[in-house]
Amino acid sequence: MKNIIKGCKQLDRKAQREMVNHLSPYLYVICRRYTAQHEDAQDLLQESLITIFNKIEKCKADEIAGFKSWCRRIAINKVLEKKRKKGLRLENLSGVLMPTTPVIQSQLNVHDILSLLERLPENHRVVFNLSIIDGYTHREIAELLNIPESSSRTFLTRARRKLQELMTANAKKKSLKN
Amino acid sequence: MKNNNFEDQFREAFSAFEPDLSTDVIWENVEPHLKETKKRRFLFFWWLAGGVSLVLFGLGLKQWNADSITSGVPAPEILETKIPTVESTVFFEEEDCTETQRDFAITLISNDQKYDVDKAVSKQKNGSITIAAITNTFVSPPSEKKHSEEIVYTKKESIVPEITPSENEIKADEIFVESENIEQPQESEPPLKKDKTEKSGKIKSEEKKKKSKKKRRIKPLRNKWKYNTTLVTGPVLPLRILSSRGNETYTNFRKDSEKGLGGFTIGSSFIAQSPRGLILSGGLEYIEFRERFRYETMEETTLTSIGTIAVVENADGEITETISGPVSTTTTTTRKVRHTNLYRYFSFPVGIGKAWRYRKNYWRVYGGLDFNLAFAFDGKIFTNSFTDTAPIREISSGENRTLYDRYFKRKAGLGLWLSTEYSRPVTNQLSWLIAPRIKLPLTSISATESEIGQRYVPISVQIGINYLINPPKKKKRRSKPKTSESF
Repeated sequence: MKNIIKGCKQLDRKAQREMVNHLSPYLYVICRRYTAQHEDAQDLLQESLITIFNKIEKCKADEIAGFKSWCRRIAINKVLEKKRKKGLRLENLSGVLMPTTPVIQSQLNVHDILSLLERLPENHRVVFNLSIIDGYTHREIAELLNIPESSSRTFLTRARRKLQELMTANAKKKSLKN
Repeated sequence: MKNNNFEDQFREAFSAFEPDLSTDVIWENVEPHLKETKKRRFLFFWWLAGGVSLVLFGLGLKQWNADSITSGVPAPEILETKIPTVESTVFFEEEDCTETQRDFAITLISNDQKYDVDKAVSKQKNGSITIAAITNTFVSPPSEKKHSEEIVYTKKESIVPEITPSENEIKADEIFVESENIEQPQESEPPLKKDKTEKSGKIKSEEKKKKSKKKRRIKPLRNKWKYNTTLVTGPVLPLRILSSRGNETYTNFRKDSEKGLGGFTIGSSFIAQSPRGLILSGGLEYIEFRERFRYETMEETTLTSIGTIAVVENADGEITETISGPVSTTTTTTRKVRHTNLYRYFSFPVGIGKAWRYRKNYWRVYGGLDFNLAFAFDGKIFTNSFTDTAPIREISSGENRTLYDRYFKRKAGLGLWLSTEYSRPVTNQLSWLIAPRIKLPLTSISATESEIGQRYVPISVQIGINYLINPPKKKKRRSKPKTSESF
């Protein structure tokens, strides 16, 4: 992997091709979590890869973990950039909702989770992904989305509650079918 | 705990998830937007190196050919040619001359021509007869000269007394009379017939999304063949390869008398290019170039007649005795012939090769076989009987047909060709190109009975346009999706 990174920094096409093989699944999952559709995710994946390859000389991480983390940040920034371009407004929310505790109804696979995430409002999904999956703090999320921290907390709480509702509904449907 | 369990399950699910992605498609869409690689930079230099190599190869071939023919025959000396003035000089080779000798010299020259004798007869010596030479140069006025072909005759006469004069009194030496003039030029021949691209910029998701839920390719690469037509033209440098068929002298005379000049090519071809860059091409090409033909012959004739060969003079310089005797006159005639020969080829080149694309530019290297459909020669050559032919040309039914067939074929036969091409798009379908090209004939254009094998290697730099017949269809822009909720 180190050689591939080195090759990419030297603009070697073969190394870049190898890097696409390595990074595509990883980055696709990130993009897919933030977007409702596969096509949008693939678009973002390609844009992320282009940025990664064209700015790879700025990446000082030689270790795989550091490099992947750098790539993840680029992918997330691409997602957010695109959402801003779409004209989404990041509004502040007033009031703080009490956190609710989602209940695991059953074991879920990725497709189920993606299906659930797709049904979340976009802003909820973004904050949920940033906070729960990607490990951003509310302060960082607030900076990224240019919203108050309180809003970030609210979005996360609502996302959790919504997910719980959806999972409960799914579980009921499955039990009816059985 | 339940909360953590919920989040952990999400994280684990995503970390273990392996999506079904076609990295080939992703790479094809990403690659055109990447920075230029060092390797790609070298493509241009490879292309340039290819072109230069072709030229060097041709020049080397020419040099090799020149070295392989050892010439034992000195090149004919070019005598007086285009001097648009009339001048006459008379001079005596020895400095001693008397008034009598001066007068004597004048009598040897015909009276209807004017000579500047005074300048030449400047010194005298008593009681002796000196060597005298008279040179007359006469050149026709410019109006008499004609275009590409001219014949120059140079005449040099020497008058030598055949009897030996008496010991001290008579010193008879030769008197040179050299004359040079241009005869009426032959009727010269009438002037011979002269003859992609892909979308650029950022990946736009609007263009790629379809409304259906079907799996689709984003910014799809063209996975079908591209069909192009090209139209090219450019200058040609012909390099000649001569091979002797036993008569080295004749080969060397031909080598000396004919020099390739230059010409042009025009051609059109059809190129099919596979998604992986394989090229198949076929087309038609016309090449025409000229050759300078020049040679000269020298002929000597000697005539003997009775004439004054010496005079005896006294101390006062008066002629006391005139001595007559047989005088031999040697006339040397030089004949210069100049002509411009024309070679014409009409061929069907087919080839195979490889194309590389970087961004919007293409580099192609391809080559193949060249099937000559017709060949024609028009001009003069030096025959094996050491004279120039009458102008011979390819005439389907003419009097010179036999003569032509004696020296040249009507089809040049099979050849090989190689080309390196660089093209850059102007519009979606149109691009310009530049392509150095070389052709190597495998067979001679000389007839079987000819004593010389003659081949021409045309090196050309072709410039032209490339038209993409099946451009990619523009996709409809996807409407902007409505957002369900805003932040």
